Amino acid sequence: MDETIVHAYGVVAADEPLTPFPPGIADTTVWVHSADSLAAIVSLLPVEGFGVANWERNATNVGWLEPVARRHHEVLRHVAMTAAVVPLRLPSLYDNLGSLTDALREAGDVLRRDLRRIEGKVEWAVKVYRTAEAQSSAVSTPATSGRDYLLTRSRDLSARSSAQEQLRERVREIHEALGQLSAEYVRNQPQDAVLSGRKEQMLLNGAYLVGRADQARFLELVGEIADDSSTKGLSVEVSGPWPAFNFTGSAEAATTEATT
Amino acid sequence: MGSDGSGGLQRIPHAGTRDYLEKAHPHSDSLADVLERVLDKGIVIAGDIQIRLLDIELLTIKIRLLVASVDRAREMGINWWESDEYLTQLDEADEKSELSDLTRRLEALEGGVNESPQVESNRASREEEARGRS
Repeated sequence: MDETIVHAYGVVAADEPLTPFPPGIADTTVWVHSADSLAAIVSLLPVEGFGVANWERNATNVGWLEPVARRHHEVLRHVAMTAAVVPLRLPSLYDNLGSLTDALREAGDVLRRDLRRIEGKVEWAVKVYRTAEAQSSAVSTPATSGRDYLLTRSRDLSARSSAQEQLRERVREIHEALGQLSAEYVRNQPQDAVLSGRKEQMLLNGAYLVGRADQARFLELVGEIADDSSTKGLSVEVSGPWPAFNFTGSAEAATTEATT
Repeated sequence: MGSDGSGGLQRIPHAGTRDYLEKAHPHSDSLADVLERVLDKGIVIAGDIQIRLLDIELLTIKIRLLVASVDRAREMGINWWESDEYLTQLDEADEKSELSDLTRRLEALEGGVNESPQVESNRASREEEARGRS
C-alpha cells in the first residue's frame, strides 16, 4: 500500500449514529476514528499528491484547492444534516492516527464545549444584495447651466446618501429580526464581487445558528422579509443548512449584536 | 421603477419550505461561501503534528482580504486570482462553466474598476462593515 497521511474533516460525539459518508478528498473512503468520547471523521490521503509539500505548493492555487475544499465541505455537510459536528479547518493533516488521537485528547474540552454549543442546531446563511434598480434610483434631469448642474448634483448626492442610509438601516433590521429566531447570529464582512460572483453590492452576509425545529419558521421569516414592500430594491438569498462553521472554535460565543 | 421580480427571495428549489429542507443544497454552493468557511472558519486542533501550516495560514489571510476587498488585496500585491494558471487556461476549456464564469466575472470587474459607481459602492461597503462592527 502506498504511503498515506490522515486528513480529518470534523469531530462528533463518539456515540453519534452516522449514515454512510460520501466520498472524501481524492475519492478516498471516509470513516470514523474514535478517541474517548469524541470521534474524528477522517480519510487517508495518498502522500503522493496530497502530502504536506502538495498543500504548500498549492496553497494559493484555486484550481487545485476548489475540488479539495468542496469535498471537505460535502463530507461535513452530509454529517451536519443529522448530527452536531465541529468542522475542522482545511487542511487538518496528521502523520498517523496516533497523532490525531493525541490532538483530539488535547483539545477535548474545547471540542466538547463546541459540540454542546451547536447540539440540535444548524447554520443558515442569509445574504442581502442591493439590486441594480436601487443602485441607480437617483435620476437627474439634464442641467441647462452650470449653477443648475451644481444644484442638481448636490440634490442627487444627498438623495442618494439618504437612500443608502435607509437601506443600511433596513439591513440592520433584517439581521436583528433573523437573529431573534436564532440561538446565535453573526454578521460577516460582505463578500467582494470577485468572490460572490455578483455585480450587485452585498449589504449583508449573515450567519444564523438555528435550532433544527425552528428551521421552517426561520425560512418563513426570510420569505416574509423578502416579500415585504420595505425590502424593495433588495434581493434576499438564503442558503443552508451549513455545518456550524461560524459558531465553533472561538473562546466565547459569537458576537450577537445588541438590539437598538 | 416598480418592476417587481428583481428583488425578493431567491432560494433553490422554488418549492415549499418542507421540500426545501429535505433537498437543501440541491446545487453546489458558491465557491466563495465554501472557501470562506473551510479555509477561514473551521477550528484547528494541532496536537503534535509536524505539518507546517504557514502557507495555509497565508492563504487564509489572503482569502480574508479578498473577502473584504479586492482593491485592498491588490494594494497589498495579492493577486493570485489574476495570475492563477488554472484560471487563465480556462479560455480554451469551456466545459466547467462555473469556473469560466469566474473568469468572466474577473474581466467584468476589471472593466468596471475605473467607473465611479464601483468605487462608491466599495466605500459604502466598508462603511457598512464598520457600522456592523460597532
